[in-house]
Amino acid sequence: MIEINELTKRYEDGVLALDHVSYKVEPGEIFCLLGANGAGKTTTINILLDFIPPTSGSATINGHDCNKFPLEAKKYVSYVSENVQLYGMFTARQNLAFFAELAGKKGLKKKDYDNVMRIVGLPERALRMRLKHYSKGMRQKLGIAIALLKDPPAILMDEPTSGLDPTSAKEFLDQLRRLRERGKAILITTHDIFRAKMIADRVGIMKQGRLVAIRKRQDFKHADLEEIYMHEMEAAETVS
Amino acid sequence: MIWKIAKKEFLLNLMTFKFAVGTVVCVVLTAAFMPILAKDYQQRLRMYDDNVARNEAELRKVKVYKNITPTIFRPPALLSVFSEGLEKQVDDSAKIEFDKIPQMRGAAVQGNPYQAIFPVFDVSLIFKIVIGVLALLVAYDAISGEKERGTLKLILSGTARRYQVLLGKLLAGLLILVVPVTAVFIIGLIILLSFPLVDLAGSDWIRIGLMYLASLVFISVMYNVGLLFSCLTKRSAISLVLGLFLWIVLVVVVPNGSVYFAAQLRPLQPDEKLDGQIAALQQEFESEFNKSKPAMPDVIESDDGDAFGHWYPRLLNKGGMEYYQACYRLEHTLGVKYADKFWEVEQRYLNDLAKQKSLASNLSRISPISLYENVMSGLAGADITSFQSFITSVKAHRNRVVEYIRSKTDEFSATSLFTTCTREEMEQYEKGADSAVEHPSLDLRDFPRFIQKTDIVGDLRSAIPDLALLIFVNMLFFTLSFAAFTKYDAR
Amino acid sequence: MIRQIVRKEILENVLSLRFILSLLLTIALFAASGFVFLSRYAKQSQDYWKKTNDNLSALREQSSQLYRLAFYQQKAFRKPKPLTFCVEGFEKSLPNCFIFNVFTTELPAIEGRGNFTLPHFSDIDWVFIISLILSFVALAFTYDSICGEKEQGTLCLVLAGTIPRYKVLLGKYLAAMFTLGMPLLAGLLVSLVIVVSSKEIVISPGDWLRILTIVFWSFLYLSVFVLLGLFVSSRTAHSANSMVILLLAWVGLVILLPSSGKIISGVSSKNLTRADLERRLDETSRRVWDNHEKFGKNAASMSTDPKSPINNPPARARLVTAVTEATNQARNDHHNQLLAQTLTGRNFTSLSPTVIYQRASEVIAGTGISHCVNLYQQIKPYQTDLKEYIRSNDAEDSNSLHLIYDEEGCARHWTTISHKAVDFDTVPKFQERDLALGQSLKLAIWDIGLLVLFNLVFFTASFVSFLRYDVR
Repeated sequence: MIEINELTKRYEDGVLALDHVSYKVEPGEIFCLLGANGAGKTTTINILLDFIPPTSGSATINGHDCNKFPLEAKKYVSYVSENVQLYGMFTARQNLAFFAELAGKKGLKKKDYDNVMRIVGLPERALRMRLKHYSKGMRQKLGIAIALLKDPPAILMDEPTSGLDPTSAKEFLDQLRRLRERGKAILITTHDIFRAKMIADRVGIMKQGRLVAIRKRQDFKHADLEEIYMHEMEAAETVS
Repeated sequence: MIWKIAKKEFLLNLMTFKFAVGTVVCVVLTAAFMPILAKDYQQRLRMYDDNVARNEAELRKVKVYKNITPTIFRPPALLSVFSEGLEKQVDDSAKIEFDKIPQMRGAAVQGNPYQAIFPVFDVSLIFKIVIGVLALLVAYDAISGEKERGTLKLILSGTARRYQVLLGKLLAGLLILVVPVTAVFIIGLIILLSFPLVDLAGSDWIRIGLMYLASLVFISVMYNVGLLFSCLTKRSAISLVLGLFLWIVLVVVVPNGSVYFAAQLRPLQPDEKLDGQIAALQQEFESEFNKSKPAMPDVIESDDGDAFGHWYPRLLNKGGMEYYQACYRLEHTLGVKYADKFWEVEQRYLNDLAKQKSLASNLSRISPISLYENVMSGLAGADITSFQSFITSVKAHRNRVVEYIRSKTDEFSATSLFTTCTREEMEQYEKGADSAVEHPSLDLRDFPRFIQKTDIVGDLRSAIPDLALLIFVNMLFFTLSFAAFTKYDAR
Repeated sequence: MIRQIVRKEILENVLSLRFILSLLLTIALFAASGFVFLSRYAKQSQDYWKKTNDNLSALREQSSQLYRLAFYQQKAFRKPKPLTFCVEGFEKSLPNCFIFNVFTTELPAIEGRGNFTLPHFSDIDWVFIISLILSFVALAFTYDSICGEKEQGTLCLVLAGTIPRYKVLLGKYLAAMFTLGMPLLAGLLVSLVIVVSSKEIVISPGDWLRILTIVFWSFLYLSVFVLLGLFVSSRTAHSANSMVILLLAWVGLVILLPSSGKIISGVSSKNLTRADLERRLDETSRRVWDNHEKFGKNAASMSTDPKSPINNPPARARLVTAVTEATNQARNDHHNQLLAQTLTGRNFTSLSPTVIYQRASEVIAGTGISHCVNLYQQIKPYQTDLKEYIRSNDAEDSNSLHLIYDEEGCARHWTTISHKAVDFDTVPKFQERDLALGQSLKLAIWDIGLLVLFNLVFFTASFVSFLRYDVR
């Protein structure tokens, strides 16, 4: 579904943000990309969304190359970004309606909005509230609601749990499980190891642009993911 | 404590994009336009010198006393490059005539009437518009921006008191804005002084110093307005929008509106009334003249041109001589008498104009930009009081000239008033000979000379009230900001 | 998909503080402009008709003797046009009185006294509000179009969808034009209602067409600023920076550049004062007069007795005609120089869209400096007509010497032109004609092209800029 193949990105100032990274995210799978700041996680998402071009290699969504046919590729993906304020003067419903229409969904009725709000765990009256009165957790949930309305096969999430309180974070993880059950391919970038352990099917560890390790769920279910992470980081140290 | 806050604020602002761009724009504009303004002044000064010289040359050529109608010129005000005021709107010359007392007139009569399509342009425009906007841009996020960034909480969680924070911001804002203001003045002066013919006297430097001070006071008013909005809103964007809209109203709407309302509230008398009064006086003059005028005999004359574009009869027959002698004496005596009457009628009209103008000025004082404009044009010597004092001194000069001619021509009865023809020439001419004797021009060594006075005290006196008002507005806005900030929600 | 962007943008704009402020300010100003116009127009119209009729009735009196028709100083006045509420064109400060007789035309003068001590402000007409205030509002709406969305984080979301970038830009442009159009049209409507409902002026169908043209032209002008705002917005990442640049650009283009026209035109001037003209006329006439022998014997002398031997009418006629031609030439040159000085100044500053807009609006509405020039140009053909009329009527009179030249004293004493009466109804009378709309548009074609060019340049610039914009 989401396929990263020998993806390399070198910026104009010479920084190597991605170094021949390859992996796949299958439908019904949650793939967490772990790594420090500047490891290349956000760059990956930027390339998938055609915000920057890769230096070499390819990124495809549902078989469509993100750089050569971006508009085709974007039909199959939804994006939940970190810390987005959305349109403050609009109500939640107006925000949802706008992005749904952009996604080509026509004829959505009130019950569709109620439904999606319920799914993400927002009260119904929040539909009529303006975004500027939303808390961070509520905005995060609305971001997911926007992605849900489009109902694409693939979802990209950038640091979705940063700044969430434990209850909201737990609700968010429940969301992800439901999405997985519906067969979505989900790529999450995060450095929240705690939650990654709870939800990920596979974990990719990135250090300085290279994918140094991929671990399946069986590998870290009974172990300390943090220890594994630290170990891989040091190992990568000696290798490079 | 205040100084610490001010220092941090100053350094912060120094490094911002808006400050750099704003200062660069000011410098570029000054460098671009000051040479043009200076050249324009130079041209006007040359024209003034030419006019005065030409006038002197004409005076040396004049042959009969009735043709002594010199024009007095007002030198262009050098500092009008900083603030044009009325410099190009009011006529800067006045003609000396026996039957008219000089009055202020509009310049359109003399110059190019089509130039009315252009608005005024001078250096104070850069201050009013560009630096005014810059002041707003520096001030609009002074408080609300800190709140948005979350640093206001940090500052106020320390030992700094609220009034210290505000004063620190004010101090820093002023210091920051001093930079472009000073740059404009220095660059402007350097360019101005590089032009030949430009000569700054001691009193000019005092004026420039006061202009500099006035500009700083004005800029601080704009800063305080921005600061006030910043203390009233939570979001900088709103503060900016409010500040800019108010600025547009103050720059564009208030000055225009005050002129319009003054014209509505204090309309001038219809032209017909004034024209009627003048026509009536003219009738009176003519009837009195015609009453005492002798009958016209057979006049044979040969005319010649004289100075100031006049003509005079060079050779006359006896009948003509006697006729003209009586006519000119009558015309001049009556003319001088009626000059006062005409003057009174015109003066009443000018007083109406002055009242309308002062109403417009008062109405526009709502806007600090108008206050600033008044101060600058007053200090530049280009406002209405400067023109009024010029006309007053010309008027006094005219009286001296009239007295001079009166004494030289024995109460307007001598023939030298209107002709150079001597008795012998007259007899010769009657016999039919056309003698072409060249008469010398009049000896005018004891002719009264016009002395130009520069009145710095008068100019200062006209500018000080508005400057004081500007300082008061400053304190008013700062007090309001202070009150708003004490209640400001810093969370 | 553009429709969604447009709809969302319009909604977002309408809910903002700047929209409400703009709406209020615009409507207030347009209403004020309507009232200001009304308070002036009735009186101006009255004055105009009274003065023109006075002129005609005085002319009627002159027709009792043919020669007086030639020498009577007629006054042509500039007709107040109803469209001055759209574009006043500084008419209240421009010459409105043209004095002429059959032989010479004086320089255009200003009849009526104004208060010359008041600052010269233009009247608040539509063009003033649109060129100054609405251009500012256009920038206020678009300065954060792109960079503001980026700061908000919504630009990522929008571009993560399938909408291509150019459609987003187009949507924003259309939305901004709509948003601007609302206060503009509201204001125009208010102003028109005020003016039309007063029943004091009559707007002909031709005038309505001109008004419509000006409305379209105004949209073209505002579009320049919208595109400029979009362009700058897509060049920076911070909306604060965008605001700074746009503010300074606005100040430069709309306020400083047009004003500098005065100084630029003043610098290039030579001696153009009336005193200089008088001097030149003096020199010219004296030069001709000094060579009076070549026109014939006794050309320079005259006696009021027509039978006196020192009179030589044909010679004197040639002399005076030569003087008249020379002085007319000098006066004409002077007038052309005055015009050239002003128009060159304006041309220099036509880098500013505001100047282009003002200039073409004046031409479309038929007001302003083009109005003066047009009127001035209509005088010469009329003079020719009147002269021809006098000549043909004079030819029938055997008493006259048939010498038509500019010296009234001689005409009176020597009967160089016939003294008989003529029927006033046959006398050609001066009437100001308006330019047809087609002709006006032809004159404005360069300006229209320039603004279209501005639009294209800024559109291309913002297009290219946004396509490469870093949305991260």
